[in-house]
Amino acid sequence: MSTFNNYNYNKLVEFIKIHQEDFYRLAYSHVHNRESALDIVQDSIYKGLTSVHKLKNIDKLKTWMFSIIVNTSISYLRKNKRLIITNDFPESIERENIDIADRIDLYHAIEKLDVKYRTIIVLRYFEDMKIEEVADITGLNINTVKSRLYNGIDKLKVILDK
Amino acid sequence: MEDKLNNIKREYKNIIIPKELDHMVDKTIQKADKDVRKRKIRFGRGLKVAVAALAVCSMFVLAINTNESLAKSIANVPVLGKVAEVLTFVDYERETETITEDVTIPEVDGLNDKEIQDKINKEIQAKMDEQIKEAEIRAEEYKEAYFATGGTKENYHPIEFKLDYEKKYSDDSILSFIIYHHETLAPAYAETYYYNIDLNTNEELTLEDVLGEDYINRANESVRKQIEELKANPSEDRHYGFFEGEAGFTSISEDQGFYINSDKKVVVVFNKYEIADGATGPLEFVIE
Repeated sequence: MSTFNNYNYNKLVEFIKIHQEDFYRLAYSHVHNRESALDIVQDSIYKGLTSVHKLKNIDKLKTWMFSIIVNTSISYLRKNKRLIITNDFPESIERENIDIADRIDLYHAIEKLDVKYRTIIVLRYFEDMKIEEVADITGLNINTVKSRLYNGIDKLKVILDK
Repeated sequence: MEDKLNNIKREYKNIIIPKELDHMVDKTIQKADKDVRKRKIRFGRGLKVAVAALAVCSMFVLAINTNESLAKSIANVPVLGKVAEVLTFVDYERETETITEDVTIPEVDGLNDKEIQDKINKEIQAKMDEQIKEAEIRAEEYKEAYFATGGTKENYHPIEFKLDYEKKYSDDSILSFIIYHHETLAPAYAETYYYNIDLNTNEELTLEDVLGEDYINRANESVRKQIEELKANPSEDRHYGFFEGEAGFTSISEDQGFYINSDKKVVVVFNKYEIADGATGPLEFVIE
């Protein structure tokens, strides 16, 4: 590490403490599993703190930290999906099943949405972020975010009306 | 639709926050804090300085102590031909209420400078003792936090801690091995230590020693190429979630962890989270 940027680092610690529950909810809304969500939050804040010195623009702290949570969540999902298909690790499937009981109604709707819509709806409507922020976090351009948002809402409507 | 969205939002905000979240976040910040501050202080630097100092020191001692008969007896000791090895020094399993430990600590044997050998072994021992002690403290704290936040006895499990070593390569000029530890419930505390010893000089082998002056560019080029290949051809068997941009791979560091593999090639290692997400785990790249 070339520099230990105390200012950025301390800002991030502050930010993490304020938003830890948002991180958890965001992770949980992706993986629907308590332990995995906790793991994701832990992975993400550790990664954030040990790499914040690479962040050049402190104004981007919020979207940068949230993007780590989103990326880590999506990685977990990908991994989990594959585990279920290949059936290599029955243990993790069992764990999924136990947690179904813990799930709340929201997921019967949101969960059915493809993750590419899910992330964006959660960030925009539940975390009240600006379109620009959602774009920053997901690495998509603003128009893609907008169109996914509208498509996602349409799909959600269909699911809810069933 | 507005209403429905608002309902869902309410449910979202009502997602139950696990009681241990706060504690876990605090501990992770503490851990990151320590790692960030201590990142540069590793076996590498410390040992190199120590070895250099010791070498001077032992020469001095030898110069005043050596008499003819001692010199003769030293000359008769068949030092050459004996290959340095890494052997198990401590090996135990221990179980308490809060932690299950499975510990194997190695020691280096057969270096031609016994003082340096002792120095290295003491350092390994001290460092591992410290890691074990810290894991024990964490396990205590975890237990306290667990019950303080309403955890039940039936669901409580002691932390499992494992510490072990692995010899990677040895011949009459190089000894390369790693020591690693990890524990359940706290994947962020896993750590690996790399020991590469040049048996001719008794000094720590650096990347520059093995890859030459241009080692940073050489290694970077190779790592970058391999990452691109992995991204272009995603593996079915293993997840690779490389971080993009500045959080991802930019360059190896001067004190990048590495070992020598059985083909006598340099393998640079990136810790979990260093250039890819936690699900990817640590990454290794052979530098050709």
